[in-house]
Amino acid sequence: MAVKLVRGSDMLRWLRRCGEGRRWVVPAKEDRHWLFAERDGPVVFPPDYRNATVGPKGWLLPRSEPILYYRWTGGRVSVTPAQGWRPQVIYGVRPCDLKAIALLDSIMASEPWPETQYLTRRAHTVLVGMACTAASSCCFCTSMGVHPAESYAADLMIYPLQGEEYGVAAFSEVGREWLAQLEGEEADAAFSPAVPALSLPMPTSLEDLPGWLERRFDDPGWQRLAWRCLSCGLCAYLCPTCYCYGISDVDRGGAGRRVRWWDACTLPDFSRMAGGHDPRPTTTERVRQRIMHKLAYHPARQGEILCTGCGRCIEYCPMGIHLPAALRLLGGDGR
Amino acid sequence: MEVRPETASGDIKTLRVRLPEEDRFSFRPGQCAMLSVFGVGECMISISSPPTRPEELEFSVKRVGRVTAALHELEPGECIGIRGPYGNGFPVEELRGKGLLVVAGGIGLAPLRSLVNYVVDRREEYGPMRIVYGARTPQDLCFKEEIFRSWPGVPQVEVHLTVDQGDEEWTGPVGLVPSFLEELAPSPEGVVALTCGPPIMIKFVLEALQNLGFDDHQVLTTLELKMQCGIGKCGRCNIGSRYVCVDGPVFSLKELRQMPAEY
Repeated sequence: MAVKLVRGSDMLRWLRRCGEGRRWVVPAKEDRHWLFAERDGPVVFPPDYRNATVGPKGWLLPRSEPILYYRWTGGRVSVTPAQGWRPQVIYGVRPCDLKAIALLDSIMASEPWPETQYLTRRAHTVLVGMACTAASSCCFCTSMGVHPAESYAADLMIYPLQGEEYGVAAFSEVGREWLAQLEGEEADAAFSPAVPALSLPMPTSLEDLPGWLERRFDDPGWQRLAWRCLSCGLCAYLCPTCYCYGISDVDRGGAGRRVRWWDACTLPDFSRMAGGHDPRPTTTERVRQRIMHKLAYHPARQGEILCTGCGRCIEYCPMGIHLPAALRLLGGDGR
Repeated sequence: MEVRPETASGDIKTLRVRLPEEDRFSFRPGQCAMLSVFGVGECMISISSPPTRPEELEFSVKRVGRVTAALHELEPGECIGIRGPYGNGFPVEELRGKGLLVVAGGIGLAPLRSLVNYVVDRREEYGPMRIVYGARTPQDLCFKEEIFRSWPGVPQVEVHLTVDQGDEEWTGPVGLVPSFLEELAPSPEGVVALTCGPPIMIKFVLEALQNLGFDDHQVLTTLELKMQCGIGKCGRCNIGSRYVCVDGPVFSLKELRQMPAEY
């Protein structure tokens, strides 16, 4: 693996210089939880850091953001599109989350109607990835075909080597520009990536998974999952590949804004129509929708599984509903 | 903009919208647009006027929720937001030269009305057109001027009306659309059937068409699910791997059979 070798303190100085004028979004600890937050610049992770509870998704697809502003004057309305981006660096993104961003990129860029607000913000973002040297207790990336040292959507990748030493490699034009400004020798370094904590016993190959699930569309296992589901939406909020959103108007008397916000297919009103008809009226259909979207519908549409094995659903769902649990229930054992 | 009631109860109204010349867009019959009442919200409504009459767009809206109620309350001359056109629409090129059987219930005639008037305006390009339309009562039939007067006068167009329940003035057939359709027994020979209506009506119309000998590929339906973005991104209008807003709303019965019954 060809990298530039650099000491940690020099690396932080170099990154800070390259990212001048940009917002720095980095892992930060708030009480017990790590999340991605705006800070002065890049940081060195403490040895026990694995990944953030809340990934960087919200800095590309905010939890809530205006998409336009409107103002009524008499019977006429004027509309101004929102300018919701600032140049930013998102630093320290793990490969599972980098893969998730690559998936979001392909979804938001999909024809016939690319989602320009996301794509604009994305185009003004530099992603600095951090390869994994140690796994958290719930990681299962390799089971989903994701590798803990792969760059995916990253512009630059950092590989922690021995002690204070890091290897850095570039994977895009802006990444190469930045790397050119780093003093240091090009070297061939051996990086030993983390081994994910979990290796899922998959019922079938990843390629056959969509068909395997479609054959189980009416399986009673879905209902057993639904009995446990609290319909809280937490899985969707923490999942790095969940992107479903809602749109609504926030009116302040004659003027206001149209807002886009994170929604979740597991929430009761998600697909309920005005007038009451709901194609997914109970938790059973909604739990099934979430899993099927990730493992069957999206692969049928865009050829890729919408799970990167980050392990957050395993770690944080209070009722233990997650992809491995679903596959186990549908597979027959565990009934 | 004008707002015209379609039904006696006023639960369905047609908005007639004049777009500034620079904002006009071309579309296919069966496509939809997102209508905005800024401050209330947006909803997806099919364009019920044909692309052959581009000066004004018409949207027929049933009052079912907040946004549709706000659309109903608009005064002539007021502004709405329109974005679109969205969805695939009817395959008007493939339908050329074929006979058409249009089967609709209630407000379900709105998306099909765009196709009917498109065919009326390009009459020589299509075969005979039969329209089978029903509503709960005579008062609930939409587009009365067209169904009673203008369409029956067009060459090779037949209009068959039915109501679930008649009134003192109604002398026409009484009965549900699916059974009325089976009584009419139209031949499937060289014909494509297009249907839209309440979900339960669609279900039985599809069965009736099958009984009449229509193949799955000869039957098209147009669906409606909750939509918010209209561009295949917000994730709520999927039926299996298909999004109604970009892959639909028009699906053949052949396609529907390969999709989960979540609609």
